[in-house]
Amino acid sequence: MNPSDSLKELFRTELETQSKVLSQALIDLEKKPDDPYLLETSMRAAHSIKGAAKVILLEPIVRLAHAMEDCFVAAQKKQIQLDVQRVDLLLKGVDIFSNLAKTGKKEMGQWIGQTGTVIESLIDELSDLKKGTETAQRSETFISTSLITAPQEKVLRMTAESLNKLMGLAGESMVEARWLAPFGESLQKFKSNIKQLSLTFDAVQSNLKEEDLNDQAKANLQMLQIQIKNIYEQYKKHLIDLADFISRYSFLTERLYQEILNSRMRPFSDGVEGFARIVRDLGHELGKEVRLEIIGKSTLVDRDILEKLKSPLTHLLRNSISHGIETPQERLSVGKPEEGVVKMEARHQGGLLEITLSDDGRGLDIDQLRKLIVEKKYLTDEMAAHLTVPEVINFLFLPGFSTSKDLTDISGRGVGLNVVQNTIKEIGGRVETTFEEGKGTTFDLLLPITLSVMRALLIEISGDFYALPLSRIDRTVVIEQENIQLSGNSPFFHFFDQDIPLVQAWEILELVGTRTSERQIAILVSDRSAYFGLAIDRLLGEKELVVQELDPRLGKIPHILAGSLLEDGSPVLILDVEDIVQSIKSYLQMNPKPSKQTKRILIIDDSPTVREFEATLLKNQGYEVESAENGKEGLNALNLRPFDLVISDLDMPRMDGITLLKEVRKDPKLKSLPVIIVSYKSTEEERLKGITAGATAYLSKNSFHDLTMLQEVHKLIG
Amino acid sequence: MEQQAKKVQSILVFRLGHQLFGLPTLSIQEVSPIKKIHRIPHRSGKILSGLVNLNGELRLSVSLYALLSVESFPGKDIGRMIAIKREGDCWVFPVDSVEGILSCREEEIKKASDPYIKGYMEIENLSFALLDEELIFQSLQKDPA
Repeated sequence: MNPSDSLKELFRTELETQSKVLSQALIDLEKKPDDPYLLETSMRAAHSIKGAAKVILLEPIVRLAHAMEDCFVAAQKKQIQLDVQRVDLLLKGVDIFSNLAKTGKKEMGQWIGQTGTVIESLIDELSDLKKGTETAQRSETFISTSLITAPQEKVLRMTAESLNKLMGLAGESMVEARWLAPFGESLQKFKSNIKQLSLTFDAVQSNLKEEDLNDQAKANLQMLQIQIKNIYEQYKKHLIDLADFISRYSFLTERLYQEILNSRMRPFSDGVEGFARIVRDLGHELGKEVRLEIIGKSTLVDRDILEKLKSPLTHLLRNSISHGIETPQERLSVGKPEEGVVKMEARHQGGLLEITLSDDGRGLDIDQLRKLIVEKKYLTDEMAAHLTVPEVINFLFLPGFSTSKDLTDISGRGVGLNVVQNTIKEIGGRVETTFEEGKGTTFDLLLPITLSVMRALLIEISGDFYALPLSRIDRTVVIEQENIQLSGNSPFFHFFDQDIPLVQAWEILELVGTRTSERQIAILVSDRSAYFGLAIDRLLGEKELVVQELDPRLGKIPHILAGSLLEDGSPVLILDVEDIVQSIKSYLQMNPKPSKQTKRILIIDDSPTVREFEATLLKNQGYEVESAENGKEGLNALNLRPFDLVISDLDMPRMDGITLLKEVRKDPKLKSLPVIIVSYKSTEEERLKGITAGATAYLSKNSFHDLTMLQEVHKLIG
Repeated sequence: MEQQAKKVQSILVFRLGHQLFGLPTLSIQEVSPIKKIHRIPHRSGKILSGLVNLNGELRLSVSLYALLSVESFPGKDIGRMIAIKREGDCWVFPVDSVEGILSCREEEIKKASDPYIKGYMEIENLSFALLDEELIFQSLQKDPA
């Protein structure tokens, strides 16, 4: 008799569950080999697997589970003790179980055939293990088995497809339920029609003279009156019943919908199940002692986010163990306990999900990183020396940057942290890194609580509904026709003290649109350097949308993130603002703004990062930019070529900003050249010094991110 | 006593423009009222019309009119949408009207060589073209890819 498909499925589920239990118990047993609760749990898990495998007729698995069960019983009887090697062996058995659980129902038999020899030799080793060291036969009975297990929440499994169908149907129920209220109202109106009927009857009756009517007529009229009254009364009652039903039903559908939405959340502990094992195995491999602590196990996390976090968390974990935690000897020598600790914590903080991974290892060696940056030819020695600590840390996240001397399996591939950052960004979160030299490193992941609901701005483009995530929009603007200017063929408008290009959304999306020159409604979007205006047909307000993944057969559609449905069931497509901004930029490059005579700006700063940043900022606005490393170089450049504006730092080697200013103001050719000083120093005293020396404007370096600098530039040279 | 059981199929008959077509009900997931179709930027074309809401989920909407080169004839009939499914892939297509479900026997099909058509049939005074659902699915599976 062949076990049915559903039996096999049940087996796989049981195998997976019990493997996890066994895995965790074994890891705990390593630290507490005599713990009776752990031994009992392990024994029972192996016993369950044995029983299930018997039903499915997988004989090798039965024997393997039996061999493991025997080992646990032996340990309970104190005949053997489970040391590291023994736990290793038993874990190998667990690996067989979990790998089997991963194969498909049809392939199980085949897989067992292939792994047959491995299983057999493992069974032999386990039998030897069970006999183990000959400790004195003690006649003590093993510990009583009346252990109270903590009540656990019953967990069920369902496919993502089923859940999506449920969500869809619940949503659609709500859409249909919304039809009821307006229908109820129209029935109310009908009630007044009946009332009208009754009044008409009264009018008719009052015009009839009593003596004109015979008995039959009188009887008929009376009956008519009673019938109208009955209809009215019954109708009124039915309406009340209907109103009650509408209110109960709407409430039910809303609750159903909310519950299903909430079922997407899972406790954090679900996502970190395999980590204890990784910590143990990697620690052994590298000769380090490490313990994993998980805090906030019951913190609720969206199941999709949990899934996407597995890979980045694994990588950060491996990183901490291989680079962060020191060897036991090293730790002792600096006064730390031999065992290193890695903490993973999940909590809800300020409307966000915050997941922290920290270790108490050696922290980051900034000088070592600087050397690496130079070695990899990212920067010169001098430039690397000038990087601030946060700037150095940023290099860790560049693709191809690895701090491992050899590319081993562990974490030296040099790809890891970059992938971590990308995955986190994909979810819509960010990573923050802090460390204390010699004390440890912390990675802070800040993520949205759920991916499934998004606050968005609803718009209309070419007759269809679209939505923009609220977090990615700067503003909406209405531009009257007369305020739209043309630069060559490219329209632009003036806002925030600058010229902002205006691009039609339907053009970017390759839809059909009409170019009208009437007033435009535009969404202001930006990347770090500039603003862009995306023109749309209509603005429809803010909505909270439940996000649906689009059919995978469509592939990754450019400019589209996902889909959703409105309250009335209409489809909406959610736009990918990053994609759109990129396309707008390419579109504009093909139709560049012809300069009305391009202004030239000289940037003087000793930090390459600052120079790069300012240059990009200004080039995107259509200025021509040159840069110099210090005051002397800057002065040379000014003497050789014409410039419209200078933006300079104060603290620089080989001629600082103040000296430069004085030189510039002395020179008759350069005397009236506008100079903006940008400096970290922003006290009144420093400002005064700068202005007295001849600065046209004095800005602080904090103002990069709020476009004050751009506004100032525009003010000075247009 | 019949030697072999005659194979009987259940066919859903619907109208596209002036013509009637049929599809085996086994391939049909459901019939629903006509809904708004949302164009998909960079993807919508003649055959792939866009996305439509079916039971609260966004599904691909295709044009059988385009596939079969038939003109729509909206007239007085309220349009409907038919959802077909095969091996987990679902497509929805609008039709002018749904006429009903008929049983037909294998031999009653008059074979034809027109594209996508298995044969012509006449049952209970309804003449329609029985579509080759295999061919249709294959074409649809290729298109959005």
